[in-house]
Amino acid sequence: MNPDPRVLRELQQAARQASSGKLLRLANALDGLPQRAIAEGVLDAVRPRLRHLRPPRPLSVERLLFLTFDPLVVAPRDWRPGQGVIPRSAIMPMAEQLRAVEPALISAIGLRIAGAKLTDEVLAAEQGALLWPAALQTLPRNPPAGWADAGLQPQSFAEIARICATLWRHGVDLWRLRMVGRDGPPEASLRPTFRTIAAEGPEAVELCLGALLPYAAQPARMVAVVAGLNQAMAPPAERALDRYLSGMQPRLEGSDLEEMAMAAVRFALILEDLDSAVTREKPKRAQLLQALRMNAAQSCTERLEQAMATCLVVPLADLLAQPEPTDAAVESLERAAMALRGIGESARRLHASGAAERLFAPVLAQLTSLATSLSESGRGFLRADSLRLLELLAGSAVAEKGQRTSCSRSL
Amino acid sequence: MQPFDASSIEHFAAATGRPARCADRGVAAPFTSPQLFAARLRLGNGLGIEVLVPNPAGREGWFVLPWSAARDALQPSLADEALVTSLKPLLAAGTELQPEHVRAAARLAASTGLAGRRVRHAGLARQAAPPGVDAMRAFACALDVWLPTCPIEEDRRRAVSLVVRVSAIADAATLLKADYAQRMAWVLDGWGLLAILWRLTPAEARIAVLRRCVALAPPAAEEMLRWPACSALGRMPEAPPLAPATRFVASGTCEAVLAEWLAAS
Repeated sequence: MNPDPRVLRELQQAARQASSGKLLRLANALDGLPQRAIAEGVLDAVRPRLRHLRPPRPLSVERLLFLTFDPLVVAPRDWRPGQGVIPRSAIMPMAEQLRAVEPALISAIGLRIAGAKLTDEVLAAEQGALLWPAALQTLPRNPPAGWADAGLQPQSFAEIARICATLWRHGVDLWRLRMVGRDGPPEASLRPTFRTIAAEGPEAVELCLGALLPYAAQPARMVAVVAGLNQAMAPPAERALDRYLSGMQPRLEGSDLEEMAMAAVRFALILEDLDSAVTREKPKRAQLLQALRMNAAQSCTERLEQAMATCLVVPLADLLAQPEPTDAAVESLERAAMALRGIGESARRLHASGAAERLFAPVLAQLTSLATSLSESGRGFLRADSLRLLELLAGSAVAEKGQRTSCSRSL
Repeated sequence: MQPFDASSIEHFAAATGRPARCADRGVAAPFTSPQLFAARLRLGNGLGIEVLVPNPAGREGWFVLPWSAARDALQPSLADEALVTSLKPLLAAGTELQPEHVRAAARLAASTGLAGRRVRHAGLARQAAPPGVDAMRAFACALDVWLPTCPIEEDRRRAVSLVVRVSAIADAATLLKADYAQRMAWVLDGWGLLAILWRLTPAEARIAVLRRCVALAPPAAEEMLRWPACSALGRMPEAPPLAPATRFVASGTCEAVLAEWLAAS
């Protein structure tokens, strides 16, 4: 049943205004609701923030059913026919239909995944291998019950069903490729899988690549491998890449410092890979990548400006003032230093403006000075602690220089 | 950290084939910089220290670099420098490295605190034995359990090869234990670091770490194959070749492995 639009808008507004902690609690509560329409509607308003906060989402039959093609699932208001995507509102009627025709299987899978999280990829692979072929075999010819109640038009069913059929047919292989894609293009598995997919036509190739590219460490390389299989594969592969590029966003704001560092490093590496996709025939890609690069570099620099003081300078001053700082406090500072360095290096890789260097310079000077003045032993913040921070922030060559200076002064 | 440029070490000599003696194979060191983790150290011909690192192109063999060159190319951490500095008096005396020397040097380096407070505590704690037969059995078992979940055929074959090797190491070490403690230390050398690394690896990073373990797996020396119970170490299944630029272990993980390795018993 569709939620009252006015109530939904109010709930969405409240979710948008919630603090991170409250939003995580809200997501957890909504995940437990049996009526998904209103829960998904509220969550639609805050999905970009949830992506950063990464709450541990439970693995449900509905999520598992559409897991391999989640990049192709969009908010109902963003869905248009002929775009190769699925409205989120189609999930519930499709899942309910499958539950009605395969009650024993769905019940068994539900029991097996009860309490599991989406991060359990192995369990998802195991249960997906049972669920996706069953969903394919029982895919109805006409819209299932609840289709109209979900706000979907009957004429949209054929297209959505065709997309689902393609992705369920190849679900097991796609999930496997997605799991290994973060370690580089799994060429040995990629080629045979896409040869099979290509037999279904260019739309299938484009859909399957569209589902994989957001999870690939080297999306351009992946597209090149697929496009290189035969001439007919190249156009859909290139279309999938263009679509992926047009929807690409750094999304580096708002996350935890360490997560942002990892995301920034990953994003910088992906952009380096995507540089290889810029050709004379595709000049717009260069503009797009440059805009993304500048945008991400700016996010990194802004985060450095804000976090350098709050996460490093102030906690360092606190540690220096304490006669016996705890190991946990020192290690927490080290983690922040590592994250700041990751963000700084990503900023440099994305756009070498020198802004990151300027932000690091004062704290590096302070640590170099501390390396000569602090005690070598005792219970306080020690010389080794400051050298280590220096190394984490600026690398071993800078730290070694600091170490040599401290040794020469202590002689 | 600057991205590692593999071409910076490609002009060094490559050691392919089986090393004749354990001393030629070198001793695995618990380095904390990603490019050096579990690389091996040995006394070079000119009495300087040499470091052996897996071929970064993924091909068989190890590059042999004088430590002075490794400092430029492989970005050792301050803690790595401290470890090698601790070994220098031994090597200056012409002593060939043994696993126990590297363990003692690692303990000394750990106590400086340059690899962090957790590692320093482990370095200052009561001396513990390095990971032994039980750790190898647990490693083989953990790999075996993970194997069916591995989504890539080539990696499954790599894991199978590793299970066979680790099991053979455990068998050989079991039989050597009573009478040949030093030989057992050589047989186990390097594998303890890999066993701990695997144990500390979260599920989503297992494939990358498996490949790194395969690259870092110490080869058996000819000398070992003549020891009682060790001939099987020369008949190991081939693993598929690795792709270039196999992901390195993050420095935080290297430090966590070092802390556990020092505390193992």
